[in-house]
Amino acid sequence: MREAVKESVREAVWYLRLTYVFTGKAIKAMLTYRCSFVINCISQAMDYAVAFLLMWVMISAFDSLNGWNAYEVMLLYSFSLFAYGIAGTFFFNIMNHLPGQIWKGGFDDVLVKPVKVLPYLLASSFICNYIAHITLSILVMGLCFHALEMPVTLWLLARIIRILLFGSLIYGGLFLIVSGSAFLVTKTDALFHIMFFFREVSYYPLSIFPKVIQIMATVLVPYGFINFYPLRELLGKEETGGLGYLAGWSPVAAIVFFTMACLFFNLSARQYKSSGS
Amino acid sequence: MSLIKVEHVSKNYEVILQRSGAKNVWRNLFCPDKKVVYAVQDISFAIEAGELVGFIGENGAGKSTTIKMISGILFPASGNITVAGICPYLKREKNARNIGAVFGQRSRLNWDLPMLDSFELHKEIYRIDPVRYQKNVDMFIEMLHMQDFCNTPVRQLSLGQRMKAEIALSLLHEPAILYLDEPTIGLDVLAKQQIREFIKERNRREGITTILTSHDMKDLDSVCRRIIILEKGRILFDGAIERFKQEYTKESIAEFTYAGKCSDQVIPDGPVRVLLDKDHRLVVAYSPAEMTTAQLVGMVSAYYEINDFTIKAPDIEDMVRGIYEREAD
Repeated sequence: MREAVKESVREAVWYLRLTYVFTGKAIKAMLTYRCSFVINCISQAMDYAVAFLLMWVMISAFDSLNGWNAYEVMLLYSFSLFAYGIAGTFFFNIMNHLPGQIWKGGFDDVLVKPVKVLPYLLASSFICNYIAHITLSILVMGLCFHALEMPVTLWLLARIIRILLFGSLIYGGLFLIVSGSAFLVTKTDALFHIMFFFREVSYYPLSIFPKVIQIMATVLVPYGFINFYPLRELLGKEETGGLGYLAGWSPVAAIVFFTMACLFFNLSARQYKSSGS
Repeated sequence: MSLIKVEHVSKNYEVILQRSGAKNVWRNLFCPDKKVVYAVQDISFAIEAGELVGFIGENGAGKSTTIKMISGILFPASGNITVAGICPYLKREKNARNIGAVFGQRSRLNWDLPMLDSFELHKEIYRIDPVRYQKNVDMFIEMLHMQDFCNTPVRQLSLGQRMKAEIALSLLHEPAILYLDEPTIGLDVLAKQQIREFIKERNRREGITTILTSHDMKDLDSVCRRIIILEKGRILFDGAIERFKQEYTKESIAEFTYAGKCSDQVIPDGPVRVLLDKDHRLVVAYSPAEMTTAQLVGMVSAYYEINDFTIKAPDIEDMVRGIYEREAD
C-alpha cells in the first residue's frame, strides 16, 4: 500500500518535470513569434477590459443589479475570468488540438508513447497565453475590494484563493468534457460554443436569471459554484436566488464535477482504441 | 518463441452510409444506415526477432490497421496478439517502451524548433539515460548526414531531412521493434537510399526487428527479406521475397514500338497477351518457358511493322499488380 502511494507520487513528480520541459520548449518556440504573442495578449486584455468598462457603465447607470452594485458584479466577472484563465493555461490546448489530432491521426503518436494519456496531454499542453486574462482580473479584483472598502487581510486572501482554486477546477472539468467528446464525435466546435457561451451566466448574479437557468447553472453545469455562491457568502449578501445555502458546497461540487469530467475523458479515450478514426 | 505473434485477428469498423439528396438529411441524422467494414479479417502470422518484414497492399488493404493493432493503438475485434510476451493493447505503456514507430504521413517534430529540441523531449518522455542519449544522437547525426541541418527549425527542412529526423527520433530509446508506415513517401532518390541503408544497418548491427509498409516496391525489394501481401484485409502471400519472385515470375514483359499495322486483325489471346496498344506502343506479356524471343518477335511482326523492342523480367510492382488483377477477376 505504502509502495503504491510512493509510486504514484513518483509518477506525479515525473509528469510535473515533463510539464516543465515541455513548457520550456513551448516558450522557446513561442519566442520565434514574439510579436504575435504580445499582440495576442494585448488584444485579449483589451477585449475583456472593454467588457468590464461596459458593465461598470451599465450597472452604475441602474445603480444596482438585484442588490449587487457595480463593483460587486465586476468582482463576479473577475473571479470567473481568473478561474477561466487558470483552467485555460492547463486545458485549453488539449481542447484546441485534440479534435485535429484525432481527425488527422496524430493521436496515434500519443498512444505509442509509454505515457498515460491525460497526464501526458496536460504536460504537453501548458500555455502562457492567459497572462492577460489573469493580470487583468487581478487588477479589477484589487480595484473592487478597494472600492468596497474591504481590506485584503490574509484571511480574506485565503478565502479568495480557495474560491479561485475550485472555480478553476470547474472550468478545467468543462474543458475536459469538450475535449473528451472529440473522441466520440470528432468535431467539438458546437459543444464548445454551448458550454462556453453559457459561461456568460457567470458574469452576472445568478439570481437575475429565470429559475430554469439558475437550476441548470447549479446542477447541470455548475457555473454558479465558480463565483456566485461563494462570492455571495464572501460579500455577506442575502441568500436570495439560486438554490439556497450552497456556498459551502463549492469544493464538493468542483471536485465531483472535475472527477466526473476526468472519468468521461478516459472512457472516451478508450472508445477511440476500439473504434479507431 | 516468436517476437510478434498474431493469431486469427479481425478488426471491423462501423461505417455510416450517407444517403444523398435533401430529403434524406433527417434520415441520415437520426437513423443512419450502418455498414460493417472489415479492415482485417482473420489474419495470422508470426515474426521472429531480427526479421525485416515488408507489408504490401493497396490503400485500405489493412496494412495500417494491422500495424496499429500490433503497436497497441487499436484493439482487435477478435483474435490474439502477443508482442515480446505481452499483449500490446492491454499493456500499452509497457509495450510502448519496446517499440519505435514512424507514420510517414505526419510529423512528431515541433516545427518551430530545431530537431534537437524534439530529441530532448523524446529523451524525457522515454527516460533515456543521458550518456546513451548523447551517444545515439551523435551516431545518428553522423550516419544520416544530419550535421548541416540539426540546428535549423524543422519547418525549414526538406521532406527528406525531416524524415531522417523522424526515423532517428524513433530509435533514440533503442527499441527492439521498429514500425515504419510509409517512411519514404514523397522523398527523392538519394534520401530514400540513405534511409534504406540506415534501416538495414540498424537491423544488421542491433538486430532491430523492423516492419515496413510502402508503396514503393523498390524499398521492399532492397530492404526486406520477407514480405506479407494484404488484400481486402486478408493475407495473400507471406514468405521470403525470393520465393515470391520465383512463384510469380512466370511471365515476362516485352515492349514494342511500331510504325504501323500490317493488318486489321489483332493478336489473338494465347501464349501472348496484349497489355497495351496505344500511340505506336505495344506491350505484351508472354511466358519465356513456352516461347523463345525469336518466336515472339516472329509472331508480333505478322501483325505489326516493328521498329524496336525491349524485353524485361517483371519487377515486384508488376507481380503484385498481377496478383491483384487475378484477385479482382
